[in-house]
Amino acid sequence: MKPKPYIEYIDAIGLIAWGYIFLHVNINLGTLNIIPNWAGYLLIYRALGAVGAYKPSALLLRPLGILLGLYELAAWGMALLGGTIDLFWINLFTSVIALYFHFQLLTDLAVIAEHHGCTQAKKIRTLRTALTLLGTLAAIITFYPDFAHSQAISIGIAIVYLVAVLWICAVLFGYRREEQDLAITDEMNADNSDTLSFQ
Amino acid sequence: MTSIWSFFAQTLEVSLLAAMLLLLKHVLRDKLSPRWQYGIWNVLALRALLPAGLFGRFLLPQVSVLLETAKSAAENLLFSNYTNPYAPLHTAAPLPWVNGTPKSVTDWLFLVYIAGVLACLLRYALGYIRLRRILRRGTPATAGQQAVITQVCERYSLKNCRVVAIGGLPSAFVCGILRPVLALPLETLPDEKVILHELLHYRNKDALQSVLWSLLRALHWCNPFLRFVFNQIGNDMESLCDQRVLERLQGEERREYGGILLAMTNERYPRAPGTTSLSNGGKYISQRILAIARFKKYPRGMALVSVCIGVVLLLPALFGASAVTLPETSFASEDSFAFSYGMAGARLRRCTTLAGALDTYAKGLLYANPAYLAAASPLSEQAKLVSDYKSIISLSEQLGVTPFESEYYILNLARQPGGSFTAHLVFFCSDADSSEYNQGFLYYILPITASRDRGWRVTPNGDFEIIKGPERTSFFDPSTLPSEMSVSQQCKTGLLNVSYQSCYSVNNREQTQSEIPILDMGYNISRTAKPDAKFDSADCVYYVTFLPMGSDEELAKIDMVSLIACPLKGADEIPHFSYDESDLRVNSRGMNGSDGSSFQSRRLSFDRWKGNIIELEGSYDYRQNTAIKTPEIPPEAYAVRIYFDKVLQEEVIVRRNAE
Repeated sequence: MKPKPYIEYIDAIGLIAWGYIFLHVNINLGTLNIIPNWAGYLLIYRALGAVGAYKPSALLLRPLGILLGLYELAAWGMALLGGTIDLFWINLFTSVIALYFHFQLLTDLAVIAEHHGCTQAKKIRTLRTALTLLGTLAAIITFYPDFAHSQAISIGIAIVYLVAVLWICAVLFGYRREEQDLAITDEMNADNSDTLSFQ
Repeated sequence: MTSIWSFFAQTLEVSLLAAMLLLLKHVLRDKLSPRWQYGIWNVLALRALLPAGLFGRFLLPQVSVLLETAKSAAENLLFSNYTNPYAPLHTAAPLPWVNGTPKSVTDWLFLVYIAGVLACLLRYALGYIRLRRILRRGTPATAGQQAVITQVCERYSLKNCRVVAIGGLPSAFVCGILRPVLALPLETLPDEKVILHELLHYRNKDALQSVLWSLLRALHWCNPFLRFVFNQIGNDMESLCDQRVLERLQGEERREYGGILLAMTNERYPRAPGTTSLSNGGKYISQRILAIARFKKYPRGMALVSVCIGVVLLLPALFGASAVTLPETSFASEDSFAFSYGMAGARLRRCTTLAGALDTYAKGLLYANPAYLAAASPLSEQAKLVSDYKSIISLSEQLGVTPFESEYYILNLARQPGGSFTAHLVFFCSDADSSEYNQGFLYYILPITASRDRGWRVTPNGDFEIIKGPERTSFFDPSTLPSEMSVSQQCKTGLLNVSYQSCYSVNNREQTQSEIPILDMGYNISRTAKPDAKFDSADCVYYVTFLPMGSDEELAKIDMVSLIACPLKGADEIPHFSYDESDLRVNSRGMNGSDGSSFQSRRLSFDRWKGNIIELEGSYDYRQNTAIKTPEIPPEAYAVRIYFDKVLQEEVIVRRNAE
């Protein structure tokens, strides 16, 4: 029987993957986004405790997760009323916090994966780096559209960013499967050794 | 900085950024390394070294507009010699200097400020000189002390520097930038960790950085918030050095290092620019102890996110957060605060593009918005715009008609020597006198010049000219509206005339909102000025008219006259005609959009044409929905082939500069 934190950690990986989907995929019915970003942060926040059991630095992300979730909730509410949060410094502040949040979260997952001997560790780390760089570019273009020179460059960056996000979701689901397989293999080995010792 | 107001603007911008950085550092204090915690202050240093509002953008535009409003209100009464009440706040450089003799209270305040800066610098210089003098009196380090230093240098691969021992010194410190000296207390044998701390300061040139921070401290000496911030920066520099020390120490040594710091919780430490010391005052030691308690070796990957965060923060620091938003409505009274605030905002708002200035100016005229006019008018006109507020009436009121909502066009935009542009702003409305079935139009044409002066500025070159014209299908009508160029040339077979018109426009269409997304097909014309707009369409067209010459008998023999024309970029370019004799048929015409060639054939006896004039229209460039940064350079010349009954009579080159 695997310990409870490990099972919770496997569930947490799934929550984080779903969180990323909620964060980056938006389906609007009029002004209502039915896959709200704040729900994404809620899912990730719920996962942080389990990740923190293996990598305590993930626990430091909790206040940032609340901050980002509240910002997204406010933005979602404003969008529902037909408005936007048009405050440069608040938007910039949350962009910077989000850059750190996702970088640290994915770093923690990559470290744990590496420690567990999972093959997805390297992919998570590479995609973390790509997402951080693309997130920086996206932030620059959001706040200074003239830097993009043309709309085509902005759209290009947005597409590459979305591909990277979908890729990280796929990698995280793959990582969860890998951890599940490892758990089953460990349990089977443990059962075999129990049987052997019983014999 | 040439006035107390420009100092206020500068110190305000630096303070706002410092507040933002402090907040962010607080949120990330236990998450990012001391390297980032100190390094991010470089963003503040850059901001402090750049003039406020350099790119027409501000960190918090509303606060800058309030300051501009206060300046205008105050200087209108005080008559400063250093500040024009209606010249926008402008900081040319972050250093102060005096232009002329003081006249007003604000001028004297500025002199007091400069005296304060000089006093601060003098105090720092004297402190440094005094310290160097004490160091000169110091004795060479003892053999024991020298042995400890050599051991530290060898163990941690650090460079040594000159060492002196001074009696009564509370702690070791490094002084000097070019010839640094490590000062040690004479009475005790220094701890290796203290030496390591000081040598790391030396290796990272922290003394030089402390000089920069001291200069900035002197420039903002009367801002208590920034004094607090500079103290924090000094503390972050020490925390970073602590981190570097701890990264080199092992287990128990780290605890001992914390113990050394705890023993220094008094206020005795050397304070002078170009000097670094392990101790930086009791109240900051506790913060450093907390940082030491959080000590961990940060993985290399952290550098990536640290740099990325720095880059994202650097942009608003360098280029400002946003520009001032111009008020959309006219004001109820020129005595109201809203009017003063709106006009102050307009002075600070630059039109960053030529198209933006023309759009802002045209809408200022259309809607009698003095803020729009101020944003797009030369600095010399600002005072007049405020004082003559009541005389600013909308175009419809001026002309007694209602021009179409926001619709205007920019005709014949042409670059002039020196980089300015001339053009005709054209407004129009239906002619009330025209019949119901044949509606005529009235065109209101204002010649203008646009030039750069801290943004693009527009000046009218005369009064409105009113022209009656036929129904508006396009603006290309040289017989009604002015041309940018019109050249007549007598040739063997007749009289040729070539004229050229261009028309530029800014996209002012805004999609209307609808409950049902699929029905969002309507457009409104935006009344909001767009000071950063780009031209979204450019139409450049040439016209050729030809009057055949000859006796009645000679003309009677000609059945059909044809012209084929093409524009030439250079006067010496070999013409390439896309059409030839085979294309010429009676009453036929054609145009090639790629090279601008065109042709037309007419019967001389055709009644509509009165038998003797042929008109040819050729579009050499037409672009839409493309951001056009600079106006087109018109063709240098036109090549025209004249045919009578499909037989080439002559080929004529009409040069642009022949007029």
